[in-house]
Amino acid sequence: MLNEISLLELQLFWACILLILHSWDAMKQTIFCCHDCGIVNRVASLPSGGKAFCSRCDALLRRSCPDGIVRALALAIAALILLLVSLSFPFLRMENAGLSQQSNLLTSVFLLFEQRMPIVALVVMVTCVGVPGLYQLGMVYVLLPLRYGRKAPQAVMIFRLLRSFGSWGMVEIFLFGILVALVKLVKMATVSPGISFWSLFILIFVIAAQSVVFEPLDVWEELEAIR
Amino acid sequence: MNERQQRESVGILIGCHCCCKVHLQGSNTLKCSRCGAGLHLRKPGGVARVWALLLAAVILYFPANLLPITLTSSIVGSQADTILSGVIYFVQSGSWPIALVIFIASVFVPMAKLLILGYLCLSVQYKCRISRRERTRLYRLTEVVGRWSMIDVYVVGILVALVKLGAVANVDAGPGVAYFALVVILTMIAAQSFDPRLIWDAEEDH
Repeated sequence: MLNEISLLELQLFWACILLILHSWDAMKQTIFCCHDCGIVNRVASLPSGGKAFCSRCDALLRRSCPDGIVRALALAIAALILLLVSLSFPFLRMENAGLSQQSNLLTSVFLLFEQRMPIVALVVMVTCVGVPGLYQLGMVYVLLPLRYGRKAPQAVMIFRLLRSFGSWGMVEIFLFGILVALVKLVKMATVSPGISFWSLFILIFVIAAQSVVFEPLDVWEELEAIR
Repeated sequence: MNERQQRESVGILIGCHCCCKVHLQGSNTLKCSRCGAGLHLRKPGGVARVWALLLAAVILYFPANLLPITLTSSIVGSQADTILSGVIYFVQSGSWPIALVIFIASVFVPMAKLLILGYLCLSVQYKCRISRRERTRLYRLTEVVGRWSMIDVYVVGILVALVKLGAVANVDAGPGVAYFALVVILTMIAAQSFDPRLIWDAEEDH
């Protein structure tokens, strides 16, 4: 009987060790090094929609996003459609004494290049077209196979790139720029916003929603699990 | 985990800046095992890199504000506008809210960003230990708000692309815009290069 108790204790002991090891090499990560203050935090399981903050500096560590991957994927596809619309139609229309002028996002960029303003053209091209477009394309590339439990080739590297250059998309600031230009031009002629203006407007909300319902750690954990 | 355990594991555990996976610091922890990103305890370059970027931004700040950003030519004459004269024009023509937006985004924010980042760098170099939480919050605010200075670049770009009515008016971009765009980009990279964990390191060096 003494031997049996010892065996049970031994099994309990090993179970504890395995639990500790499992929580370390986590499916759901429990230990975080805060990216803002460096301290180590242990995060208990989050309720649905809950957020975990650093104990020292209140930095956001992790957010619980149920169905985050599917929602982010749907929003990414929506964003791509809106971007296509934004690029194909004019965003401002101007009329003065019978002459009308309208500007399209892509043709504006080419015009800026022609006006020997390559830096401005490049800035507009990269931050308003390039980064948002590539970011959403990359999201679809990584998240679509992930939704079905598969890993796209080079998904890890591509997702890493997305996380690094994603912060350079400035579509919402471009929209405000259109508004300011609109006010300035109202003095000169009758100005009206085009289809592209409205699709950019909706795109801002789509991008904002995507950043709220998406937790990148979910993707990292999925990618790691599939390997 | 109590305070002591937390502080003791600071030097041992490294979190990946990209995927947040925690690694034990050892001889072969150079790349994250989950995402392949380079692992470092603190952002490379340190305060020196931030200073270099800030200095470059300050140097470019002068032509950005002194050179005109728009050149408007019409039958009445031609007019060169800098950022500030553009703000004044909006005030004089009665569009107070737009003038305020442009002033805040293109004059106030870049200046504030340069000053705040400079202050944060100095506070780290002089190992200041007070108001650490507030300084971290200030840093986060700077990172978020800094992008909005780009608005003026877009306004000029749109005006140039749109106003080609020939006989009535013609708007061309002035040389100041390119410098201003570079100032905004440089301050954005400077904010990204600053490591807020350095603010909290001052406590550890006893």
